[in-house]
Amino acid sequence: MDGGFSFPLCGVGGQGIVLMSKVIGTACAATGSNAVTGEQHGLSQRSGSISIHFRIGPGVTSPLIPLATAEAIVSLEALECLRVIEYLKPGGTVFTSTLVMNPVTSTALRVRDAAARCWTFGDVQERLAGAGIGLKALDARVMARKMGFPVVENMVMLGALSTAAGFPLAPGAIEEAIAGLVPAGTAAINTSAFQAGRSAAEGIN
Amino acid sequence: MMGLELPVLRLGTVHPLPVELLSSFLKGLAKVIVVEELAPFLEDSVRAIAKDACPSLEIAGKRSGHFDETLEYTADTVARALSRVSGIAVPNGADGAEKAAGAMREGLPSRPPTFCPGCPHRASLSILRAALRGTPSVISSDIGCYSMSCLEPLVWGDSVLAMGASLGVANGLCRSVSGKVIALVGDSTFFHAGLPGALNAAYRNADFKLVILDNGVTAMTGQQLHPGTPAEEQPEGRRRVSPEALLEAMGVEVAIVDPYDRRASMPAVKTALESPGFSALIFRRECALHADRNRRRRGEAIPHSAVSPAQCRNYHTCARDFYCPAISLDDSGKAVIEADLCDGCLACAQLCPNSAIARAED
Repeated sequence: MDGGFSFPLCGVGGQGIVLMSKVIGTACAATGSNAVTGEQHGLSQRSGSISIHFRIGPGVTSPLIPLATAEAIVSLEALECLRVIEYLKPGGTVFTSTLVMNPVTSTALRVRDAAARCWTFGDVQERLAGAGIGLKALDARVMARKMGFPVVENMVMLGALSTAAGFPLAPGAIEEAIAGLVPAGTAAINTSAFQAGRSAAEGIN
Repeated sequence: MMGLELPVLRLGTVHPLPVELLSSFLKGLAKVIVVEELAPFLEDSVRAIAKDACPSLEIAGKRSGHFDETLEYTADTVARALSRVSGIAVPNGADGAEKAAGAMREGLPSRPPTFCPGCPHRASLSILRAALRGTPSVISSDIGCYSMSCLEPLVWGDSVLAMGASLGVANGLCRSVSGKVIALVGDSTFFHAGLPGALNAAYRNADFKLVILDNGVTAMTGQQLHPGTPAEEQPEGRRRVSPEALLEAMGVEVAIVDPYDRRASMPAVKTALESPGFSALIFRRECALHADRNRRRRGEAIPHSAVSPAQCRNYHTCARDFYCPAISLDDSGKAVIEADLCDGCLACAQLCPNSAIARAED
């Protein structure tokens, strides 16, 4: 095992998952931490499932996370964390947004069968609790919308991830990377979203 | 991860194959494990090299059933093959993790990629599908965003092969199937690889319809410009090439409609579909992501629509066979539009017989 700190980043195409991985990668490069990541799985921006494997550590070589070895999962949408759950190691933590984006397949099911139920955040909570998996859930979209900029939900969740036990990057390094990568004029709102995510996650036991 | 100390040869290039390097690596080995994704190209080359270099060599790969020809390999894929060869158990309970994950995902809806909110060609496909209702048809699709129409929940389209193949396949289909044959191609793919097929169809007056889903950019790969991009967006020194001018020069009749205007488009689409022989129909409207990018540059807000719950009568016409990710059904079965996702295109509003959908004011 080459060890290191591994985590899948996931969510729905269009939520800014690639930018999250770019920020983390840039922060790793700036601080001289060895990081390996593969290309994303899924289509950018097309409302489908997206996941990116990310691994940080001096001995890490393979871009794909071996099963049951990830320290954490960060998910911008609640249902999506279940699609990568096999990568989480026993004792690892799921950081997810409570947001459920209804897939079009669920709408199609409801059109055919009015009695069909759509998944809720409660269902995800139940499945994770049933398997004894530690969960830190944030209302990331709501927090971002209150800041006047719903798209910064990715930075809120990045803030939450940065509080994971053993996370190898200091918050300052991530903030610098954020400022260098987001569109001009949005650095302040993106870094405050990151900080808000940090505080919110730190407040969850 | 399994405590094995094995000599490893990592190839930087496989074509041309470093035969001498491989040959000296294999010499003296009793067994080799070949790890390569997809077809057993290296494995068969190793077999050929070993015939001279190391005739008794045992090869563990795809031919021996240690690996599959499908999917991306992970550390666990390789660990499992190593375990079979070495007899050492796979560590860290990977199998258990997969099984437990499968149980946790039971009933979880799939989330395939789909057309963006505001995508003009969700509307184009909806218009085309409605115009073809009752007419047996075969849809020869192509490579681009519109390939996604073959996925759940639309599942519309009969063939997707390669860039530009929609036209070649349709040229063949119209000679061998009954029913209306449609070649569905994006503007960018049409320029890239569709022209020879169009020329052949024009020359032979082949009995199929060319439907161009024109959004002005190469949308699927990130809105790159192409010859048909509107002139005002072309960089200095480039000249726009009009797809209709190309087709008309081939003697092909062309109809152009706006997919955001369903009522005006429908008669033109029906007429075009009914005409015999080869003709073309262009659905033209800017890519929604591209339009939003331009709006943001101009400092304009992106509008969104809303459903009036009092007027919604649960007909689901805005959802069925349209399936915009911004539209879902609430617990009472009424349509709701997610303001954060909606692009305000109003294509869904034109599907509602109760006029329940309109632009939101805020």
